[in-house]
Amino acid sequence: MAINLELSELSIRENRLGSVTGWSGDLKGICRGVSQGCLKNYERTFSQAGLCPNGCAAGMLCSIRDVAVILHGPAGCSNIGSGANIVGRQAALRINKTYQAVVYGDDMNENDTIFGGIDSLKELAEKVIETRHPKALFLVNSCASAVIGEDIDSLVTELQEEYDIPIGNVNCEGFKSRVWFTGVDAMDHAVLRTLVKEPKEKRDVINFINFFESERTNLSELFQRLGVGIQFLYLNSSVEEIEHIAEARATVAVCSTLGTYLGHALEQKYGVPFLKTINPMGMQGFEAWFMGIASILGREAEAQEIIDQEKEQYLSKINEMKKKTQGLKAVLAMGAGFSYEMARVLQELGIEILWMSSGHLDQRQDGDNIPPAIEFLGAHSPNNFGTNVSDNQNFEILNIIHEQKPDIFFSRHPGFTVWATKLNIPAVYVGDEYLAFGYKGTLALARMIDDAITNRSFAEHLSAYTKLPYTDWWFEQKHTAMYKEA
Amino acid sequence: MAQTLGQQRYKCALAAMQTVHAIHRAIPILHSGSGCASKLDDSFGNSGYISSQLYPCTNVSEKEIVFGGKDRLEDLIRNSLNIMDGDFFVVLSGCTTEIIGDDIEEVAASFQDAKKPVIAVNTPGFKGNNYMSHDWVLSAIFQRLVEPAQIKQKGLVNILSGPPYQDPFWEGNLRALERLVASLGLTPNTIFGYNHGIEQIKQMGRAELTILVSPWAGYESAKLLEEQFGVPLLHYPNLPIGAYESSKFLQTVGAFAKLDSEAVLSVTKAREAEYYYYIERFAPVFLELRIMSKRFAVVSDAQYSTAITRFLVNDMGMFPAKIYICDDTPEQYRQPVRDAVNELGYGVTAEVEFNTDGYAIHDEIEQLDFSGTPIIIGSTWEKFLATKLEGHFLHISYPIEDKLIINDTYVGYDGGLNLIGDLYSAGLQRNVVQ
Repeated sequence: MAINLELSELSIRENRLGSVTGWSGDLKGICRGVSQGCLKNYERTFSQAGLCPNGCAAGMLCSIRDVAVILHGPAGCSNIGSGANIVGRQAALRINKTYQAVVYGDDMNENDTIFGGIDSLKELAEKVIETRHPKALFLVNSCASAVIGEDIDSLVTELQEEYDIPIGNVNCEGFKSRVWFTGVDAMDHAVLRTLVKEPKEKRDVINFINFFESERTNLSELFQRLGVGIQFLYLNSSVEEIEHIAEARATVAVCSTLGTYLGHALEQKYGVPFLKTINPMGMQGFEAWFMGIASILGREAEAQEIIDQEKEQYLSKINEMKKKTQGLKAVLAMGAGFSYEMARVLQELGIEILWMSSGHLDQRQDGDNIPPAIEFLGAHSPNNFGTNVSDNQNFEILNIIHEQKPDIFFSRHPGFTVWATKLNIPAVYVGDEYLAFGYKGTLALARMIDDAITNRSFAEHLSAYTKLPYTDWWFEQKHTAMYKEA
Repeated sequence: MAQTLGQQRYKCALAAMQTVHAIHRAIPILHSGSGCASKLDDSFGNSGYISSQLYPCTNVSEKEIVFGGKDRLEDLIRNSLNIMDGDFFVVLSGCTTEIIGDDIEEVAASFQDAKKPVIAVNTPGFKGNNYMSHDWVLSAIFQRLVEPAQIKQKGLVNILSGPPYQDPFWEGNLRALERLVASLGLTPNTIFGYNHGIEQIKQMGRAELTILVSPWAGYESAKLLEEQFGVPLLHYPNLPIGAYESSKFLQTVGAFAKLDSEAVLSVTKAREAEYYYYIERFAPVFLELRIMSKRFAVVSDAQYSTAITRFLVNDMGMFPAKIYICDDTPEQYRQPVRDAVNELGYGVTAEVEFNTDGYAIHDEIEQLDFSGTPIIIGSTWEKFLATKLEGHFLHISYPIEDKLIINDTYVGYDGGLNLIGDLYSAGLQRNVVQ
């Protein structure tokens, strides 16, 4: 389904990408379902609190260094500023810039839910523009403002007539989609409609979509050797920088689940190629990804040279570490993209996957292609293993860990690592998207795994003093016991 | 629009999920959107036993908005009772389910005979903030779980304070208040934190009195204990920090509990002597640290604005430059809060402003005359300001993004020493850094 930037509403992932949030079976089954685009989605009769696309969109907007964000909703929805602020400041310090984004809420009350709060939102927007002088303003809706039918689109048109700065809005209420990543798309959608300008020239820059840019310095050096600079998105970017992203030579993403919307939209509308390979985690991933970019840029020879140098420097050390990781049995629970990418990397280290849980699953990307990591794992995995789409449901994942009894657990959902630890299972949190980046990262990951299985003191002590908040009855059930037909 | 929230310092009513969370083995069940819990649970540390990712939640989608979500909630509660190992469950509604008119009390009532109590409280985000909803949730829990008792247990005292988690020091503070009250020979009964749960709630009706240590949050539920369970309420608006305020607190409690005033005095005298021994040891630092000035600003809630101001003025000889209260204190409590902040000796007065726009507050603080290095006390937002103004800073209230508070406390005699130690350490570290 082509991306439509004319409408202020975007189409959600369930409709665009055939995303599902409840499914259980095995790798072969999921690959078969995805290839036919007919994976069945299950609902649950018991569920635990997750994330919402509104928090995702609003939180990511706040990572632009010089915007103002106003959340039109009750005080819980707008409670995103302080976390974004400290991350924004810490990131900006790394590049000698200042983080100046401001985040406001309008503390919607009962009266507003009856009579509407657009007038006071307008007043607040004017005050914010006039007193805080942001480079752009975004108004974000909420569940409450969506249910009562607030017309923020018209307010944006009205404000845009009054002020010179770009003003946009994000219509992404929390209940819009079950898929958290729809929020990423909603932010991309708003940015594309509000900030991105028609290209005037081609620039030797690639757009780099990531989360926390912890490898910024290394990446900048790496890509300098391919003759391009990097525009990191969105953390640490500025309004002015984003205005020019249609002039880039290419768009790449550290995770294609994250980058699909912006990448494909820039490709469709402005002809900026979007790289569609597996991600740069692990050795095979790094080679496919880096050579992919090099081929867009016509710099394959330099890229091959870099890959050879990396191999030379790290491969023997990785093989040495592999002696320790070989044969470990693992369960992993990560996002739709990272679970498939990380399973591949773990297999490179000789680890056997017992079970893989992904938060949601996109059957397609915005270019109508099957997500490359799924295709790759389906074709190359040495064994077929169990897999489910968990919607980040802790009770379901804990039930699986309890049944599978792995040697090690890998998690990428914040707050999940501790639960495996309480079962006295060594757990590794893959919070940094660059943890297994290329050869160097693969070595770092292998060391982290070895550390986790070697010094078990923390898990042993903690598990000895804790009890899980689930009943014994639940652990006697199948993890699909709460599934029901959608 | 209720307030302009710039640099937010409180959350919506549904954040009372954290009040439930602080009760050992109590499980919140949310009839709300999928992202509410994660947005509201943004501080470090959970109850240990569970975390917000584990709260049963209907994760309301468009389908429930259109067709109603009562069936889904009923399924969720039934399965929660089987899957989650808790002592009781508290169903909380969010904005959307409230707007579409799902009757959560009716659904919860259908579980009246369930093996564990299921309590329902309406907490849509737009109905108020979490200082208010803390009270609604406690009132509902007390009504259902507190056991009426004609005969009171000698010396048993309920202690309640501000909303857990919203107050980052809540657990350390409660333990410190318990130690203070126990020092008078009374038996404290609190309901939050380590091993404090349903049993402590049940026995609240047997207490001889309840002490609410809070300027306004939690008043209705503490009053309910008096009106419905015959437990007299001592509403003490100031969280006591340091020797002067701690002794005053103990004397007030002693008088209310009709304890022998001589016996109380001997306790406070002994504690004061020990306290001033430590002050005496470090007094040269307090008197001579060149870059430490005497004027401070507080940007916090009513509880800490009162507590910090009274400690620094009444115990340490300092002066309030200006006090900003950001918890949207309800109108009827504003004058009492101003008065509580201004219970100051030596004719010192504090200018108090109620404001929820942190950006505007910071603009103003930049213009204040501190007659020396500014001392700014508040949240991580104020740390940024203090850095900008090259001032001294102390973490005291939500949101705290850059410090772990495990069981730390500034309450009581030892708490006062901790606070003054941390404040002057901020001064000493500045000497090192600059």
